[in-house]
Amino acid sequence: MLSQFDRLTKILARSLELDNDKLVASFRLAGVNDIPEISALRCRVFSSLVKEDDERYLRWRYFHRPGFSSTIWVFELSHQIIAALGTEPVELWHDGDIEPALRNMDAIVDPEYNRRGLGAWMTLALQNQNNCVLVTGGNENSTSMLNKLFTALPVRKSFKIILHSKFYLGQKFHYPFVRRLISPFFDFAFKSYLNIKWVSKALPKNLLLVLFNDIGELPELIVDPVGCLAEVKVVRSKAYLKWRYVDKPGSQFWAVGALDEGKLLAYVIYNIENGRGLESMCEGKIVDWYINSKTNATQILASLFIAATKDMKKRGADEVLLVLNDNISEQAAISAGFVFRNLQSDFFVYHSKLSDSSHIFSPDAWYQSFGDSDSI
Amino acid sequence: MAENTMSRKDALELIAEAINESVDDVQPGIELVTLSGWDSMAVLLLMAEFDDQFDIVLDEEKINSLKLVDDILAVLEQNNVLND
Repeated sequence: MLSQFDRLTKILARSLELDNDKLVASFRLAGVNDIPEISALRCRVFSSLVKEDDERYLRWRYFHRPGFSSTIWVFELSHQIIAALGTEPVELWHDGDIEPALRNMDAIVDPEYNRRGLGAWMTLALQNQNNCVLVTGGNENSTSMLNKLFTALPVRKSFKIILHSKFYLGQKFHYPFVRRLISPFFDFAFKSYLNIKWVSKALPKNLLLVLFNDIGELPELIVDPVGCLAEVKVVRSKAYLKWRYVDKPGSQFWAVGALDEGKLLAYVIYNIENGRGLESMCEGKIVDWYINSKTNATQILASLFIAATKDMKKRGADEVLLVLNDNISEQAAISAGFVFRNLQSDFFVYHSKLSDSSHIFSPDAWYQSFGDSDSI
Repeated sequence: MAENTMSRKDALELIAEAINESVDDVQPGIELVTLSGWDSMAVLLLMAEFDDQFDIVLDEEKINSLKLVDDILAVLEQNNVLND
């Protein structure tokens, strides 16, 4: 009996007037020379959303991973790239062990070849080669397909702290004079709320709070990259953190950490993006965190969330966002004054060997953060 | 009569399964675009199902002409698959 992949290969090959082998061979890992053509395809698909330095971004994301010559796949038809599927090789910690996995992202198909099922077929092709494939988030075009090929885990809760009211009020009140009139009261209310939440939230006395202005120092302190948050997570190893947050072009990340006798016990990584949404809002994001001890974990993480938020406020952030999944992080975020937003988003898991009873298919078992998406 | 035939009810179940929808939603009169599972993968799965089970080749022109669940049933009828 033919596998799903073989069945769809036959149909797609016929639709594109190729034989099956030629179709499979047309899907290949991209080379550095393909970057301009991939970027041009992204411009055709995403138009204005593609940034000016897209080629530099592609070079970093897909050709800069230690141990991998390329991590983006392309589909070539008549010597022209008509589709691409980016991947991020990761190490997944689950059920007490580490397993290699693949995170899919940046799936694009030339509009001329839309509705042929090429995106689904490329995804199946990678599932055919890898035991475990993950996708964080989906869009209106991809969610239906992802639901067919993956197990959807309805998690990733969104939280927010408002530091300055003008953008919050901008969404609620149309008239500028009304906003100007009432913003001092709202600013006072937000500030008072945070001051109350932040009372007595310092780190335990035996720990030292450290601010990493140079995030390059952080990966060097990682001893155990797995940590104690959640039962399933993408491992943030030294090499991964360096690639993800130190080497990324055009972005700056900072971190706060808690040291226990000179050893890194916990960290929180964050960044700020200017010009987001309404009237150039300055949006802070807590993108990743880690803790290596369950003792006082909520208190320690809450202290670090607060320290990161205070630093972002100093750097001009109007609000700070956080997405999370696990229970300890959620308690810490609430304790630090973050407020739940009704903006849950899915992520998708495929595993060729594990049964539904594995932790990997249990939504509550996962650690997730902005760092698990390609939006950071 | 085609070698492999089925009732309309079974045909609706087969279509629903191919496009990952509840059979309650896949009924005559329903516009395909209103089904959340009707996407490019559903089209590919439906083409594979028709090819495997009935040797029916759906080309791009035919696929583009499918607007209603009834249009898919009509393809099966034209190929003598429906037996009621």
